[in-house]
Amino acid sequence: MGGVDVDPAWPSIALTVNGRRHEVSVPADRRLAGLLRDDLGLTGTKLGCEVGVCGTCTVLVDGLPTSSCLTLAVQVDGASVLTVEGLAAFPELAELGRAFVEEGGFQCGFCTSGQLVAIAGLMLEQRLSSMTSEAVTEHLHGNLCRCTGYYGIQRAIDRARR
Amino acid sequence: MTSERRPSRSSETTHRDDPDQEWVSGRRRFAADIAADTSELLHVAFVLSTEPHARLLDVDADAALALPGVVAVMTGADIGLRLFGRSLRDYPVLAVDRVLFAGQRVAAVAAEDPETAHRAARMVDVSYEPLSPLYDLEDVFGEHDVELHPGAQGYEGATDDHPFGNLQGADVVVDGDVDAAFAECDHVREDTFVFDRVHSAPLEPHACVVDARGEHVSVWSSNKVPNRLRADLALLADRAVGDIHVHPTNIGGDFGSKAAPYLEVVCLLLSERTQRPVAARMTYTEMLGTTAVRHPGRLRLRTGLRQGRIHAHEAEAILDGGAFAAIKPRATRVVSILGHAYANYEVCVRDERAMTVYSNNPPGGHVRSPGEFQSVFAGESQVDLLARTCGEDPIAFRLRRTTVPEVRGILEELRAGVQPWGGDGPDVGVGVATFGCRAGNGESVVAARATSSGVVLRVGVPDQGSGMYATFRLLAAQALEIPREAVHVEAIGADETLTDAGAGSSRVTAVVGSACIDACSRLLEELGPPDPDEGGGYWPAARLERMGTPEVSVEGVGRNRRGEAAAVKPTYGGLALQVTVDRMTGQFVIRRAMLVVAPGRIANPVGFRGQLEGGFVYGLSQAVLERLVVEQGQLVTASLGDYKLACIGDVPPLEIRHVRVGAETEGELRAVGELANIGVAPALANAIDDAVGVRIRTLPITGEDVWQALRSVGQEG
Amino acid sequence: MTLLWRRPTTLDGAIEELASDDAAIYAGGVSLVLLMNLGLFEPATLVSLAAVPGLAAVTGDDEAVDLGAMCTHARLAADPILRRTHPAAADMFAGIGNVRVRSWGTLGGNLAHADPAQDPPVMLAALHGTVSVVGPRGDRVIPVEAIAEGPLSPALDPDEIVTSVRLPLAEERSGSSYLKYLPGTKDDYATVSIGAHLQFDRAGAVRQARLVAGAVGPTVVVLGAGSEVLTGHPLDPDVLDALRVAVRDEVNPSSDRRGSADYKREMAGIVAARAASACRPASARP
Repeated sequence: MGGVDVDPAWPSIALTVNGRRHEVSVPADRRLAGLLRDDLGLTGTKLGCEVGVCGTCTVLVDGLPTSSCLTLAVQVDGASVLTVEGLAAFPELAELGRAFVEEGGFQCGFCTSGQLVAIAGLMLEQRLSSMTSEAVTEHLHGNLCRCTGYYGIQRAIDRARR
Repeated sequence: MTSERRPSRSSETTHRDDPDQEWVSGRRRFAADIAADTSELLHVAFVLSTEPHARLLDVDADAALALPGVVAVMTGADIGLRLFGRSLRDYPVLAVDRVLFAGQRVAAVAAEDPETAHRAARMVDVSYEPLSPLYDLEDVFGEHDVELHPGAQGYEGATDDHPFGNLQGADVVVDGDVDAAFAECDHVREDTFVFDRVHSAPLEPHACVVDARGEHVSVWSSNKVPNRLRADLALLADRAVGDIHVHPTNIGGDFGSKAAPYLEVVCLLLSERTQRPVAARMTYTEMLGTTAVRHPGRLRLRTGLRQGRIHAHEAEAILDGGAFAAIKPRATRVVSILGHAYANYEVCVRDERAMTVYSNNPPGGHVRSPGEFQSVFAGESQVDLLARTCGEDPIAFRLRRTTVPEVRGILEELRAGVQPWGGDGPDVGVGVATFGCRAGNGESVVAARATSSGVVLRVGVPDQGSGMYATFRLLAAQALEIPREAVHVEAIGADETLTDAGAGSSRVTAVVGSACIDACSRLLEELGPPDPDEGGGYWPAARLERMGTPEVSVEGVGRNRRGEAAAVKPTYGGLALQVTVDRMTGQFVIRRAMLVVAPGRIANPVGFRGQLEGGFVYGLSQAVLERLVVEQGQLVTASLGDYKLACIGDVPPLEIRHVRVGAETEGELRAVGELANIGVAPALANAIDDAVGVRIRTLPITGEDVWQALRSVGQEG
Repeated sequence: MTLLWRRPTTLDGAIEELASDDAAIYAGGVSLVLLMNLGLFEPATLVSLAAVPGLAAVTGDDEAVDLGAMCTHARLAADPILRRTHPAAADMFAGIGNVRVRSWGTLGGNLAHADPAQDPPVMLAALHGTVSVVGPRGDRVIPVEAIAEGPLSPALDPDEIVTSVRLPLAEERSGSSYLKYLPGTKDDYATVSIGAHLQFDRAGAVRQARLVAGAVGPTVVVLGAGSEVLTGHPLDPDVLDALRVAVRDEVNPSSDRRGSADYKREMAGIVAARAASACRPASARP
């Protein structure tokens, strides 16, 4: 659909979300987070700081970790988006979720979607096990957690790396 | 409540704790997620005062109302003065005649989508007549005739002792004649500690959905005290309590910020007026500017030794309470700041006084350990200074003077633990602090029902994010000797049938947990003793069948009253930190940390460890990073880009050790939520002093502070 | 006001779209949507450069390497050409913001944002980078350090587009470094940052030095006096201390939550000395 904007105020876009194709018209200022949550009902992606710092709205766009609060929906026309709701389709990620539960990788659960998506991005590209633990930590600098102190998240990642 | 009154596609009125999948699948729903699922919804954005102190002349909403998609604008003039407050009702849901801080809610716009609501809110034209402001303690105690709350005596909850106009409240702990005691001392030192404003900063912004179409009202809110929210809504929106249903809603972290009806009253009134369900979600700027901040202020400690014993202790705290006292629950209108310094040591005579004053700053509230964080910083810093003056090792000094067996055990464990750390080169230092955490007062009732398929615990307390429901399940499984999977926790939201004090003051595990245990023992009275061999693990199924009854229902009670013999015992902890300091820049790095606790009964090991680890980093973040900057009444650090929280790369290696002191205490549930965070600041200040010989008496502790201190003594690199 | 989205497929088309009132270039969106979210910026039209060809390449010749303005930070951090020619620059790109910012933030968007606390203008100015700009009144080339007039005020007209940054290849016996001073959290902008590029003679003395400071003024600051102190001397402690003093006296920061003016000034000197001493010539290049 790229380039054929019928209405510049209300562009039509096509994108794949969690393997499912959607063709929608959205206001040009609709954020990707709003598209996912309000239009597609995928509320696992949370809105926190809305300045790209906290990471609760993290999704993968064509594999790239993305702040869906700082991304316009129209910007991802033609792209493939993966949200926390789509992670269950990947059997290789099942251990990650289990490890989060058993190692105390969350308390309130509000940042958890973003944490999981950020780590899943590395796992799906098969980079997690080969990265240094410093590099994994750096990858997660932008996913804040106010509850766990990150130790439980670290333990869960360590398990997923094995 | 009827189903058609509820927004479509809404959540269940109750939810069962799904221990594993819900958390990691994105299915765990918070208040804003309910909104995303509600049709015909209007979105509310608030107009916030831009003036710290002003007379409100006019609110012109014509331009906003003309914007397509805007449905209604509500102002204070429309609804009159409606005051909320926990112990003192002094905070209007919308400003009427005056604004008392920049950020105060002045009007609300309801629109078809949030973008339009926020755009319209920016178009509401508010005319102010600026009044003389009181920005800081110097202003408040200086020459002026500004009285911020001239009608204070008329507020509900007001008390008679009102020595001067801008006093929010005062607190006193006196035990003997301190002047006489100081006269007997052979060594006295006085230190003043200053702490800045920090924010509770949970990641979930406060949000709600209110549907007030018709005679019943449905509320979903991230508010952590549903019973009080319900009562407040009834009072402030002129509705019968029984008409209001506050649905159980998951909370994305609280730390003190989610105890007031900031949004809900206005949303209810807007829903009534528009006959649409309405939702509001704070922007993070609104979170930082309008919800609970830790009180900034100063604490002066004067402490005297007589023949090596702590003979006299005097404390004077002056706190900036901001524009309203409403968010504080204590009748004194002072956060719990007295009695924590030197709490673990034998002190002969104490004289402690604190006061909170009004100013034109964001209102002070309860942030995780609301006064302990400041007072333990001051107390445990000064203990170290006294030890240095006496030429004693800081751990040995504490050991000699503590009266608490748990603290003695903790100090001995710390001494053994840090021994291998020692002698690690120049500009390396170790600091320790000890501290305690007391569960708050409160009472909760838990209803338990044993059925053929499992045991259901009905609880009123919302899950504000500490994993408490998992703890209740484990407690019941242990008490009944049944599998954890057979226990379900059902949240009921606000309900007059079950007493519940809500989440907060580290009371949930001890109070609601005890209610769960009590309910389980009553179930056992009805069912008879457990027999795990009966019925393949979940034995009550076979027992109920034999009894010829489908289910058994009971209620259990848990309560805590400080000072009573049966009060929940304090939890004690000790922390040691090792730091290195770069003398050229003042930058310090915490190389490792050891936290030792005397825990009592650990109901939920994963949750327990999480509270300690999370508490430690929460304390670390507030000790070294966080500073909510308000200049001339205006919020400067207005987003998480400027108000920085610790990230995963900032946390040092942490070792946690448990000590057991006295077998008789092991079966008791204690509080742990507000334990670990309070030790970080003093341990760090003590470690920096140990490393480079300078003392920081201000919070947060920054590299620049250390550099300044080094420079002032000519010791910079 | 309804926002319009334009997605031209040529550079000329983009320049044309930018002629309308309150139009803004949309590159990666990171800084721009952030300002929109905070209510600080309300454009009428966004002109996406995503479909304009030729803006996202890295090319090299025997004099310089050209970085396309639509290259993301992550793309540049991993680019094999840049990693070979200017490893310190590639490392700098790898350390910008967080992984999500690097996924979408672009070189051109970053420079046009004109924030003196950003990393790229500091390092790229130290490497003698120049910016190519096209617009309705013709093309021009400006030094990286001249792209900002002040905080969030680019020295560009609203209808001018940054197309690439050109970095001359490093001379023989030269070395570069970029140091960020982060006294608080690792997830923050620097209190002060220094980009340094030093060329040495055969004896090991500095032949030519270029030091640039970030976050200590309304724009990035080319440290003329600081560079002069080094010229002709080896990097021994006395020289580095003289550099520290010269830089401290040369910058004019203002106080903010990352430090007082006084502290930043002192730190600028210390970080400059540390950045200079990190500029040992890479042994891989003769």
